[in-house]
Amino acid sequence: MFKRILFICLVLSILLITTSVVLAQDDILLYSGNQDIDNIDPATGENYSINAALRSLYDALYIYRGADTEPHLVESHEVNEDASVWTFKLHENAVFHDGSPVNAEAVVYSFNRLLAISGPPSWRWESIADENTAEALDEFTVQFSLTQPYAPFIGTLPQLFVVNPAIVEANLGDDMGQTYLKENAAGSGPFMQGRWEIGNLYEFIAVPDYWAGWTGDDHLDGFIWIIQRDHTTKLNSLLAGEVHVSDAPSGTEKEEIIASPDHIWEEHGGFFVNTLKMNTQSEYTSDVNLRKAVAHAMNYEEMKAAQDVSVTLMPGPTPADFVGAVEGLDYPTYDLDKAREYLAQTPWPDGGISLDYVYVTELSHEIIPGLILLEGLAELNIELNMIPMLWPDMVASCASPETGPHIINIYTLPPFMDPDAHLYNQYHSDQWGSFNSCSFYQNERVNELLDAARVTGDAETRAAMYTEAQEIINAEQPSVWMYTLDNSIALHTCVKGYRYSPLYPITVLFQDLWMEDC
Amino acid sequence: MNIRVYILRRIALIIPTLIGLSVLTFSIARIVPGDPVGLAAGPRATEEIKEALRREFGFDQPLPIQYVSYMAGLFRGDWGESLYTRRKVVSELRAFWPATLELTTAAVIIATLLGVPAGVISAMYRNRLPDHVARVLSLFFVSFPSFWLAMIFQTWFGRDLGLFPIGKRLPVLVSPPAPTTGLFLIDSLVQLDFETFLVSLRHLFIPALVLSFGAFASITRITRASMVEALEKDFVRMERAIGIPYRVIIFKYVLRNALIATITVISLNFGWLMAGAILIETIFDWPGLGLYAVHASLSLDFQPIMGIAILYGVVFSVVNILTDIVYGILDPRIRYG
Repeated sequence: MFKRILFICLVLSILLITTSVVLAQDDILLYSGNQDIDNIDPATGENYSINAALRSLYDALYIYRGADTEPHLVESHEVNEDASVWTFKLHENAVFHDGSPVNAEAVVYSFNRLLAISGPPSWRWESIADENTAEALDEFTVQFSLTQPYAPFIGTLPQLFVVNPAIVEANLGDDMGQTYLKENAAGSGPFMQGRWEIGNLYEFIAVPDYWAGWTGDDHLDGFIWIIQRDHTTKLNSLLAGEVHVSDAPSGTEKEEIIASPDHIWEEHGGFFVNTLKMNTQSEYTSDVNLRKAVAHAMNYEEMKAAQDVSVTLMPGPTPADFVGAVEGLDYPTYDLDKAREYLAQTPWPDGGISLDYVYVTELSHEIIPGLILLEGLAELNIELNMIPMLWPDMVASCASPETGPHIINIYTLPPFMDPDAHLYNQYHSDQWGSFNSCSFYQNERVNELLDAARVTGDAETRAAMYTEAQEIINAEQPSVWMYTLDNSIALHTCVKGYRYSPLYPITVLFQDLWMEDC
Repeated sequence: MNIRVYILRRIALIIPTLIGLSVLTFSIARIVPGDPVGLAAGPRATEEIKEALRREFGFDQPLPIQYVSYMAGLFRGDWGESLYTRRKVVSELRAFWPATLELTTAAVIIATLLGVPAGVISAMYRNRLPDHVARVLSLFFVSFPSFWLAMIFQTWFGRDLGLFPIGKRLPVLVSPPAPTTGLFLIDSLVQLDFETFLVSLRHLFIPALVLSFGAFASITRITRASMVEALEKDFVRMERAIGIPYRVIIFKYVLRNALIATITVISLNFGWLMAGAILIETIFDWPGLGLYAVHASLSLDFQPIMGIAILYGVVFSVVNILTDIVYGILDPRIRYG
């Protein structure tokens, strides 16, 4: 009896171990994504994984490649002097997956749908456009007459993905097609949907005769986005050859991946900015000298060393490599003597006050800076109350200066490469109420400069305006400028065509990739 | 009492149990801090958008009305909609539940197949080497956290030795069998697709083995204890005295008596493993209810949280009824009443 059972177990084990398994297939890239793709409606979905899917399934007027914004559906464009009327000539050979043309009407339809639904991506245009803004001048010419001039308009257009109006109209329902488009594409992009297993994996199949052609020496036949949330699993899958690319690897995996001859570890500075916003309208932190004292009490180097991810310290309000960043600003460093000097100029020269520090519950990236600041402020006899909060509650606390905490830890990512995208939402007083502007900063000159730069077409004049604005902001210290997160991605050496894009920092542009000898 | 009447009575008792469970889950879900609508709507959502969402999901209503409305929907088969994914909870449970059921069932089967013999051998060789080995193994498996063992097994057997896959229910390039039950092993067998059967068994083996360790330990220990107790009974002495072979005594008489307690532990483990599968599912990328439950809890997504609690409540109740029935089969002296 026992021998029989042992024999069966042995046979079964051999069968299990020797069962041939298709782990990989030529030109099908297996991608380990840290996040689900739970919505592919261009009007309502927006995060790094959704955007990766949207870029693959849809085409937009422009596209980010590396750090550049390149025309995509657009062949040429014209803009009037005050940057309020933008006219785009579209490629005439662009077609949706059903063969119908991607024309001006489709662009107008997509833009108006975005505005009407008012979902997360629409904030880019809500203050500068309405339902009359977009107009089809002829079949392949579309004009945007903005409600107010906006010089960095092109920077917003990589997020304007064009939907096929016929498909949306056929599946309109009572929510403008949202239910349908959440899981079904209606685009013209380089890939079409394959297997779509919610919460598990998503397959994208290359369009063989993609209208825009392929930029690389070759192209993928498709890719599969596999959801893998655990870091050990991601590392093991990569090293076992079960995936070709793994996004958002943790710093602890770096050594093993670098040691593997078959893999590449890419690490680049990004623009995911961490700042400690100080409420400039509340008790204590409304005093610029106190804010300066706080900024000098932060041990930046120690904080950097303590983080479990790679970070680059900020040299002022704007990351060093970001467009328009001012060099040579006198930004604060860890210096307790200087901190004491500034504190001496406040009504609380001996400290004895208590400040609240709000951070996302259990998020170590935000707890560490808090603890280090707590230690620095203790030297100034200032108490720091560490207050954990859920993210929605933090956002809600930023609704007004009265509810905003003294200090709050906030991450921001500029949505496009323009100083406006980084500075306006953080430092223009019109933006109070959003988490980005939780320092409730108000300076009329800064407001003037940021407003004027928006309507100025001349690049040099704009740059001068942003320089002056940053100098003022730097001097008034509404935030402790902490760091930008470095972005890492791990790839098999057989994956070719990868190019880092600071605006798509976590993932890749699949249409530019191909594989060799995988 | 007739067994049919007994079963019907137990099924009827499930209803008040589930109502109690629903009240408890509903209350806990509503009192945890945080604004689920704010989380779902995103940081840039205006107050108008948030208000519209609150109205759509009935969060603007008083709590008792929200509860009654939820329960009314539940009895109509409408388990609500996820605030985050905007999909029907029923269809999400249908998509994720089979994976968890398959994993848990496999783990319970492995734990039983290994644990009962280990307990029997341990009792038969009490205080001798096999007993010590079984007890040390039990202690080891019950002491080590399952997520740690999962990572070790995955790294050794999956990555370093390449004997088993790292995760998932099937290789990503293999399409799942057409769903009949959603359990890949059964569906592939039904379709006589033996290759998919073996491949999915290969994927299931390590996650189920790791998940079974804790249950293995408790089953071994309880089987051993029950066997030791039964072996000291008078009927065993009498059977040995009249010359019945020892193996027959063990497997035909002693084990059957000892199994009552073991069955109780197995049924309890089924529920515990289902709830505890979350970590194993995360590490092995097992697309089951555990990951779904974690995501729903972190996003304060009330309807899925309620749906999962109700589903687990039903499963627990059904397993308990089945256990009671098995008691009767094992020991005819047991009367239902």
